[in-house]
Amino acid sequence: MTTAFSSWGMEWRIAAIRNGIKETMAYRGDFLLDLIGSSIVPVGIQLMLWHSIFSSQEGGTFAGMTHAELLAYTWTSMLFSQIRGGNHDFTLIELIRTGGLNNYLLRPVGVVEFTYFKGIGEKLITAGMCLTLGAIATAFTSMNLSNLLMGLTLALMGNIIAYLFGAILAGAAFYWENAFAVLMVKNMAVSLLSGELIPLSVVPEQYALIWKALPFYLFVFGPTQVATGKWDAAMWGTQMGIAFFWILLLWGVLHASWRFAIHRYQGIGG
Amino acid sequence: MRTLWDVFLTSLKNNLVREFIYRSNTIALTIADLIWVVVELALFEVIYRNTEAINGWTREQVFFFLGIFVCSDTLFTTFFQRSFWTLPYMINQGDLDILLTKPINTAFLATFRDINFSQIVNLALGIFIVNHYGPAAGFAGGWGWAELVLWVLIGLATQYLLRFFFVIWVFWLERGISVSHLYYQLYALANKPEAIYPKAIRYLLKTALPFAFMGSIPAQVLTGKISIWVYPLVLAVLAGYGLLIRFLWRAGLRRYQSASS
Amino acid sequence: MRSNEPALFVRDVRRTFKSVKKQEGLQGVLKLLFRPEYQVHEALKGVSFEVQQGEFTGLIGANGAGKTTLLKILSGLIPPTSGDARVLGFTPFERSIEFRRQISIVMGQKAQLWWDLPALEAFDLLRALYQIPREVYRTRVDELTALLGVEKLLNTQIRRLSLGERMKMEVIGAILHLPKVIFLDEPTIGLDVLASKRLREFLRTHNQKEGATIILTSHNMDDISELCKRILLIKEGSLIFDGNPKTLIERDECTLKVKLLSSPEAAQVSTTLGLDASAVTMDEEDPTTYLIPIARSRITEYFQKLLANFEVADIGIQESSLERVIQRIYQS
Repeated sequence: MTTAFSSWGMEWRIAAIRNGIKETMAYRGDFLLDLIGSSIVPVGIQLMLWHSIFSSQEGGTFAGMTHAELLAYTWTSMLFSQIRGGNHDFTLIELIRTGGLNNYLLRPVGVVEFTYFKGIGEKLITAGMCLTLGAIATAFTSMNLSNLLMGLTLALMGNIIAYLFGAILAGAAFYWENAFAVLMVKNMAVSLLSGELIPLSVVPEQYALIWKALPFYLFVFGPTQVATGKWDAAMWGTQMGIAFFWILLLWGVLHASWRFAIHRYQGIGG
Repeated sequence: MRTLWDVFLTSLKNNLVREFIYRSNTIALTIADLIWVVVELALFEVIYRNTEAINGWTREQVFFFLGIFVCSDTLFTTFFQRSFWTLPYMINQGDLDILLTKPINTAFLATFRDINFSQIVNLALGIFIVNHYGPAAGFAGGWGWAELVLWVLIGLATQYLLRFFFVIWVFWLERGISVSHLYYQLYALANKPEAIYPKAIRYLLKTALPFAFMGSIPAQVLTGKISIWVYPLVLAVLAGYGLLIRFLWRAGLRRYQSASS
Repeated sequence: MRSNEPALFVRDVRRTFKSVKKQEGLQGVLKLLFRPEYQVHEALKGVSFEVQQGEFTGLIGANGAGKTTLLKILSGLIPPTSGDARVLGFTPFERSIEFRRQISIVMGQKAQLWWDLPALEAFDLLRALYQIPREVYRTRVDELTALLGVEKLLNTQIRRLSLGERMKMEVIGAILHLPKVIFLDEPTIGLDVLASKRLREFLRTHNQKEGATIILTSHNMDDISELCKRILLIKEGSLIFDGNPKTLIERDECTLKVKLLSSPEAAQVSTTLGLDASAVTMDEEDPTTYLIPIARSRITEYFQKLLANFEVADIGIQESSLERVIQRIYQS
């Protein structure tokens, strides 16, 4: 199973990231249109929703959050929602299903890692843009740059976790051939449990264990809490530790599951 | 007409065969679709635990709205969603060629190819939600159910026309696929009650981007919040869209040059 | 259409493609927005021919010569920029339902059968599309699959078939409704020798039995020489040959294969015969044999020159093949 994962060596990884960035820049029009559409519209809807909730009640708070706090959360979470995920786990399924994996299995680099590094280029550009936007925002809001940077590192850890999780599930394609839906189930769960729709702190106490037991809150909610100063540096350190633990755990599961599942690979095509 | 019906039935059967071949995926998709509805419900459940009403809409009214929305959305996803997803790529890559040589209406063939049965459970869920929250929301039932079916079909037609409208630009624009994806982002406007939006957007949702026909308007008509005078508006908007798409589709086909000349 | 009317009638058909010229950088993008420059590519430059009903015609040309454009015009996918194209009396681009019922197109690079379904289900959809009566349909599927030896694969998903098997299914799908005109765009691309041969035999039988008019494009000259009594050769958008492939071969030059008792340089042989210094070459398979390319009409003249100047041990004539003739035309 040396073929699905690779050995050390940074050169090909950097080359893969560079290619991903170049590809994104070649289609910069589509990239920007998608980025703007997928960030502005949902955020706009969220803001209007919060506005109408607060205008329906006389002053006060919503689940302990003031209107201003909710607005700050929504704007900041928009930055991190764009960094989470990516569709490269879908790419893995497509490779398994169509036999495209054949090309990769013969190369000296691992397909799981290669796919990640190829896809991450786009997210790095997005992260850069988020950082710039966030930095500009620090001039007008109470957010400070060091909090933003800490939030961003946590979000990038979250991105790795998201991919590892997706790659494990993509292994289902060795058994089912067409396993896109598994990833869609995951994405649905992530959209609610990452905190991109609502701040997880408003979830009633009896359901809070659900999001706390899963790593998804590290994608958006965690970074937003850090960036808005709701979580301090010590809390950030703890969350980085938790993120690191999840990465190790998922990496192990990924290795084990693919090692086992690849025996079912049929190499269709030709 | 007989040919269309025969093609439709055969297509239905073929898609069913495919769903059976990939049954694990179909089951997983059904779960994903269910979760999608649950996420929508959960979002409003959480909100209503912390507030009484949103701009005059009670919890029951919002859930009633969601039920109607889920019904028409499910029908769209079942019959058209996948075909519309692949259509811009087909146009872009010149794969419309094969469809164009078939002796049947090309738009019918292009939008009715790929049927997705995983959503059927959601239809049941939608009906259940409507039935469960309807009375408390002010839905009278009885003949109202017939009107509700009509509104579900209006919602289906609305989504079909809107989705088609966003795809059709691929004939002219090199970045047409991005425009086609823009639909999914704007679609998010449809699954919230229109009451949360400012006036201008509400107006837009009833005219140029009539997403409100899929849930917000029917929920209000069926609970007696707005009068039946909304029907002429709906008819006018949908007819306008229908004519526009017919015109654009024909112009697009004339423009079509298969990619691999 | 009347029975004496040609199946295909093409008169002075031209087709141009216009595209925006792209430029690099921000300035280029702005220019694109306000003052775009266009480039026009002339894919067909006035092509005329007729094909009678039941003819099996080969359409050949190098990549980008305009073959596929012509096929697309004839099947109604794109209109000609000018000129008149008619198929079975119909104007293809009007794409009338009656026209579409009577034609079929197979593109080696594009599949029409559903990737995820067994061929039988995909055929059933075609039955519905073309309204083939069920009884007729069943017999026809049995017959056609038996002829191509794929009857046991009918219930296998298309994606699980080999390339050759898939192409056989594609061809069956394309002729299930017994079209009067069939356009085949490189149907044997990527197929092995046996699969190509079987498909060729099948096409020949179908053409003879059903009298369908078939237009075949292929880069495989075995396809053309075995199947087509007539070829249309297109080069850079113009029709440069229309006739029997044998005429083309006979018109072409042949090669004299000569063994000499002495071993002069090839260049010396060339100059003695009054040819370019590089014209005569040595046979790669037999380095003692000289290869002399000459026009057919001058064979006797060169025989005499050779006998007068060298001691000839052996002499023979190597006929040209269609492949070689075509290659020379492409290169010229």
